[in-house]
Amino acid sequence: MSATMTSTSAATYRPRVSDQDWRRIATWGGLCALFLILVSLIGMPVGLDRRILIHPVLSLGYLSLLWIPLVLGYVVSKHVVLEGMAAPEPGARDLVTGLVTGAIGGVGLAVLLLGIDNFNIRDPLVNWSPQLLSLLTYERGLGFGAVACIAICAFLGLVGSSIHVVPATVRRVVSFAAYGLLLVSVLESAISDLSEGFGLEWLTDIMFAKRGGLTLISSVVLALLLGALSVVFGGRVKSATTRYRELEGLERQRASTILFVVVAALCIVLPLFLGTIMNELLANVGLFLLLALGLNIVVGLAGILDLGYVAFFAVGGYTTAVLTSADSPFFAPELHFGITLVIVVVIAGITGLVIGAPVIRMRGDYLAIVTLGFGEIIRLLFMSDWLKPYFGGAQGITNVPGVDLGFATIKGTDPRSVFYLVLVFCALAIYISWRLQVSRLGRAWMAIREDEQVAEAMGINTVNTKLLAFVVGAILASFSGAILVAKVGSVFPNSFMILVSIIILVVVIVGGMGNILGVIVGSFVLIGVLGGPRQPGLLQEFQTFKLLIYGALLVFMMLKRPEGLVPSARRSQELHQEEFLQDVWLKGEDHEAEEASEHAAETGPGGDEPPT
Amino acid sequence: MSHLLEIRNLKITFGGLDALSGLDFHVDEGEIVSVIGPNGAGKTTFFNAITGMVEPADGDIIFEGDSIRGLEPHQVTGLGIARTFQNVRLFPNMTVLENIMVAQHCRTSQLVFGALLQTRAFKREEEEIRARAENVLGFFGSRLIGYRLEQPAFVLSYANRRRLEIARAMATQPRLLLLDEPTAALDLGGREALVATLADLAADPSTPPMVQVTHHVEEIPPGFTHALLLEAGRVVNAGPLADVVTEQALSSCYGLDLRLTQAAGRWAVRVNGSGR
Repeated sequence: MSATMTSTSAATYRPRVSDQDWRRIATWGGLCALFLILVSLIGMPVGLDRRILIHPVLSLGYLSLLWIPLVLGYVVSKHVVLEGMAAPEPGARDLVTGLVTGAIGGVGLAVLLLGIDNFNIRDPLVNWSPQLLSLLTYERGLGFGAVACIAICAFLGLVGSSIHVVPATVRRVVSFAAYGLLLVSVLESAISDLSEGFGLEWLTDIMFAKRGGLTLISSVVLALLLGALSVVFGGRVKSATTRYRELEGLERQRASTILFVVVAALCIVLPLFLGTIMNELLANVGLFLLLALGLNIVVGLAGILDLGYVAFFAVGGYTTAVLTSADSPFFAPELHFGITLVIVVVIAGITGLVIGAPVIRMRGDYLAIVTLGFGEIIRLLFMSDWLKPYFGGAQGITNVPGVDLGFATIKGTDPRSVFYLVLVFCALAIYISWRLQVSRLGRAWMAIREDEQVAEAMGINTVNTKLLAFVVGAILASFSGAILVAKVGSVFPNSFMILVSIIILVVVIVGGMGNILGVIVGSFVLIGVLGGPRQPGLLQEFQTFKLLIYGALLVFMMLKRPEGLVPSARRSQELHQEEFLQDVWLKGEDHEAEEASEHAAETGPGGDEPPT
Repeated sequence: MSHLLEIRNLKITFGGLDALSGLDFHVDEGEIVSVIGPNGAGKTTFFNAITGMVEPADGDIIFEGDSIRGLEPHQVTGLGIARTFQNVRLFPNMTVLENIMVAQHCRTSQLVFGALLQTRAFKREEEEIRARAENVLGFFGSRLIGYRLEQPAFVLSYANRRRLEIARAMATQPRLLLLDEPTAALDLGGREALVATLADLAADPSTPPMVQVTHHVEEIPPGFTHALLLEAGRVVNAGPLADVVTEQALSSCYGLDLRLTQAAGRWAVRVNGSGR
C-alpha cells in the first residue's frame, strides 16, 4: 500500500531547515529522556553490562540505552504521507529534528548523572548507584560523561532520522548488516551450540572473543559480508514470496508440499546437531506452542477470552502424574504414557465441559474474570490440604517415569527425545487448528467471534459451539501438561501459576491472533528468546526483566500493531479498517465504479457489469 | 385452516411499557407481507419476538402448526424462519462466501472428526455448502460473485452489504423470510435497485413467503400481496395490500393529512399542506 501511496502522491515540497515543529520535538525529546532515565533506573545497563555483544565496545547494557535515541530519532522525523496532500521531502530538516530530539534525551541522562553524583536516594531507588554513574561516564568523571551522553544521544538521533533521508539501497544494506550483527551477537550461545554440532568450532572461536561477544574485527567482516549479501539477494526473497502467493491450483500445491517437506526435514534433522541446552530450549518452545495453539482456537477463532487456560495445563499434568508415577499418594496404577494420554484427553474434555458450562453464557469481561478465577481455583485445589492425600499438596507428585517407547525412553535428561515428542504433538495441533479453521465448525466459531447474537439468529447453537471450542482448547493444553510432567519427572501446583495463562495469551496476541503461523512465530520469539515463566530463553540475562519486557511488548503491540507479528492478511485489514476504507475512498476506484454501475443497472436492462 | 405463521394475542412489555399489546396476525403460503408503521410501532420487536430474541409476556406464536414460543433463536432458524437486521449486521471480517457458508450451519452436520479425518462425507458437504452459497449469491447478479467472493464483507458498499444480508438469510433455506427495513439508509438509487431486487424475489416462485418491515409505502415493491399496519403496538389494519394501505389509515397512523397515489404496483405518499 505504501508503494502505491508514494507513487500517486507526487506533490512534495522542500521545507526550510528552520521550519521545525518544536512542540513535537520537545514531546519526543522529553519522552526520549524519560525512557533513558527509566531504563537506567530499572537497572538494565548495570545488570546487562556483563553480557558483551561486540568485544571491547558494546555490551547489552549499553545497547539497552542506545536503541532509545535511535528509534525515537527515527519516529520523530517520520512523516505520515496522506493521499492527495503535499508531503515534505525528507532532507536536512529531518536530520536536525532527530539530532535535537536525541540531544534532549542526552540532556535528560546528563541530569540523571548530576543527580546521582550529588544526592543519595539509593534507599527507594536501588539502582541510583555509583556503578550506574561510572558506567554512564565511562569512569572518566562527570563532565566527560555528561558531554558524552549528550553527544552520543544526539548522534544516534541523527542516525535514526537519517534512515528517512538516505537512498533506499543504502538503508537496506545498512539495516540488514545492523540487524544481522545484532542477531549474531545476541544469539551467540545458540550459534556456538550449533557450530559445535556441525564441527565448526574453529569458526566460532575466531568470531567470538573469549569472554563472549564478537571481536571487533569479526564484527566488521560480518557487517561487510551481510551488507554484500543484502546487495546480492536484495529483493529476491520478496519477489519469491510474492511469486509463491501468486501461484495457483496445482502449482501452488506442489510448492507448498516442497516447503512443507523442507521444514519437516529441518525440524527432524536440526536437533541432532544441537546440544542439550538448545534442545531443552526448543522443547520448551514446543510445549508453549502447543498451549498457544490451543488458546488460539479459544481466543483467536471463537473469541472467548479465557484467562484461566492454565487450568487445563494443570489437569493434563496432574492426570499424567497420578496415572504413571509410582509415588502417587492415593491411586497409582502406573500406566503407560500412551494409555494415560487417552485418559488425559477424556478428563481434560470433561474439565473443559465442567468449567465451560457455567462460564460460556457470559460475555466479554465477565467471562474473562470468571475464567481467571477458575484458573486459580484449580491450582489452589491441587495445593490444598483437602486434596493432599490424592495429589500431594504443595509437595506435588514426584518420580514420574519418562515415556517408554520400547526402543527408547523419552526423559527430561535427554531433551532431544523430549523435543521429538513435542514436535509430534505440535504437528498434530497445527493440523487440528488448520483443518478446523476451514471447516463448518471453524466458520461457526468465527461468526460467534464477529457477532454472537447474529450467529445465533443464523442458526448456530452458540452455547454448544463455544463449549466445543473450549473443549478442543482444553485437550491441546492437557497434552502440553502431560508432556511437561513426563519431561520434568514431577508435578507441583506452583508450575501452574496464573502467570502461565497470561504469558500464553501474550504469545497469541503478539504472534497474531487467529493465525497459526503467527502463533508459531510468537512462541519462538517470546518463549525462545525471552523465556517462559520459569524456562530460560536465549537471552538468559533478561531473566530479571522478562516480565517487564513482556508487558512493554504487549502494550506496544496493542497500540501499534494489534494484528500481531505475523498477521493474517484479513485481520490486519480489519484492524486498520478505517485507514483501509479511506484509502479506497480517496482512490475512488472501487466504490464509485460500483455506484455508477448500480445506477446503470437500475435504468438499463441487465444488472451485470464486468468486475472493476 | 392452518396458517404458515400465526400470532395470537402477542404481548411484549419492556419494563412496564407495552411494545406489543395483544397482536393477532397470520401469514399464509404465497403471501408477501409488508409491515408498515411509524417509529416505535413495534415492528422490529415483532420480528424479535418471532425469532426468539425477546420473550413474549403473553400470547403464542405458531409456525407450521407448532408453537415456537420460548425457543432459542437458533432453533427458530432451524425450523425455517430467517431474518435480516435493521442496521446491517454481517460478519464483517469473514469473506462474502464465508458469510453465506456459515448461514448453512443449521442445515449441515459435520463436526470435529469429519474435518480432521477429511472424510468423504465432510468433503461432499463442504462442496455442497459452497455450491449452494454461490447459487444464492448468483441471484444478485454479478455484484457478489467472482472476485468479490473472497473479499471481507466490510469492504462492500452499503447497498451490497444489504444484499449480502438478504442472501445470508436466504442461505439458511427458510420457509419464511423476515426482512427488517432492507432499504433503510440507502440513497434513492440504491433504494430503487433494492426494491427491484425484492420485486424479483417476490416474483420468483421458489422464494418462501416474506415479511418486510418498512417505514415508507414507497418502499413496498410490486408483487407484495398483503400488509400489516401497526401503530403503538396495536394492529391498525391487516389484510390485502390495497385494503390496508389507504389514505385514511395512513393519515391517522402518522398523524398527518396524507395523499396516497399508486402507479405500476408502486405507492407514493405526500403530505397535504403543512400537516399538524
